[in-house]
Amino acid sequence: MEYTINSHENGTSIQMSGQFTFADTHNFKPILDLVSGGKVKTISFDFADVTFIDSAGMGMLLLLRDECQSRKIPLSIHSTQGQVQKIFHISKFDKLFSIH
Amino acid sequence: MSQTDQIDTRHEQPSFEALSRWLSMMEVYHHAINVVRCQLPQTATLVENSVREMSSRFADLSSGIKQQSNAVRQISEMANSLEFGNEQITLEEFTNLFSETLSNSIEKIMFVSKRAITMVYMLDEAMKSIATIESFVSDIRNITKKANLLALNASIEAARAGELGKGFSVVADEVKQVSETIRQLSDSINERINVVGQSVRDGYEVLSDVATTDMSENIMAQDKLNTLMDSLIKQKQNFSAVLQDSASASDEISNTISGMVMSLQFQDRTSQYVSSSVRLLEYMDSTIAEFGAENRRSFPDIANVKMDGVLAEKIAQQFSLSEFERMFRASINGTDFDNLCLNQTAENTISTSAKPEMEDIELF
Repeated sequence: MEYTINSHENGTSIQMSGQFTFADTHNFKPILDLVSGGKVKTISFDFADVTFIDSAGMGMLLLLRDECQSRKIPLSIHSTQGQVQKIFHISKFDKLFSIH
Repeated sequence: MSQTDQIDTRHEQPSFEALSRWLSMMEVYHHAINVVRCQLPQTATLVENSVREMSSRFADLSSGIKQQSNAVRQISEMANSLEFGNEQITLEEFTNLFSETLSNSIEKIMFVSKRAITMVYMLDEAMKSIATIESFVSDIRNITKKANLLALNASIEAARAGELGKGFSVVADEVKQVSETIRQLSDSINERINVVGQSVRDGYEVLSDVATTDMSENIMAQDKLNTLMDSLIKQKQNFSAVLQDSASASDEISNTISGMVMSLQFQDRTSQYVSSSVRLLEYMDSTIAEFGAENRRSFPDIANVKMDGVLAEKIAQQFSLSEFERMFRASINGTDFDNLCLNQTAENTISTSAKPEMEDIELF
């Protein structure tokens, strides 16, 4: 997958596209570092162009969530569709993340 | 004289012809009445037997339906519950348990995924540290190389200085030794680091296998299973509804049959009606006989008037069942009418309990 980060005053938004899989583990690290470095106020993901997510990708999101929770940074994911929306629903991600 | 006054037979001349005719008719009717007196009770018996038979069959039907109804209820109960280890659980309980178990599995998958990614990052850090250590070791080797060169130069200078340089030469040798020791140590460290590095890389491979195992398909499968469970429940609900209808229908049938059996009890009244009709006929018969006898006594001329044969024949042909025609003729002939009637009654009692063959039934 690829992503672009947009930071503004109110918070950081990240637009992601492609397939989010284990192969993106190193790719994802900078996003984690952003949060653990205390460099963001809020963080929101635009998943409109994410076509697929596997269990490793979901694991990365859960890890990010842990970091956000411990720093009280609000995390949200929006515009999920297709396989991503379905798997989020089945694994009750809407209870863990603010999904819309 | 009004019509209700009794005819005074002592003072008037009766019309002998008319009287003869009446007497002769009454003879015939007496025999006809005999037959009817025999017929009627048999009718009652026939009805009684048929009703008894029907009631008994309805009772059988009713009990059959109750059995069926019970069987249906059992099926209904069985449809709702499953045997699970030593317990009975309902289908709903089962699907809930199932759903919970699946949810649980998914939670665990997610947890493992998260931890695996964490481990990947940790191993990344470990590999970075190892790389740093390796570069340190490389630095050390460079330094010892430099030190060796220095020691060599020092030895050469010491040799040039001759006697004055002897002390210096010793120091130079010592430096060379130390340098050698350090080089050996750094070789050992290098070996160790290589082993550690390899272990970390091997671990990384194994972890990659774990972390790349994509469980998303398994998670999606839960969706299918949930749908399956839902349709199982729907099916069971439909099933239950149908069974419920069936049970209600059976109950209704049972009630209808009970009602039918109750209304069959009319046969009690049938007997009563028949008895009173027979008594009436008997009374009619006796008054007719009395009147006839009285007239024969009073008027010797008509004492020997015979039965009207033509009328008798006409009436004989009125009987549509040959058994009654026989009885009528027997009554006329004075042959054992009472026995004939008893035998006929006995026959009818037997034949209502046996299934009638088509040939036995006389067609009207």
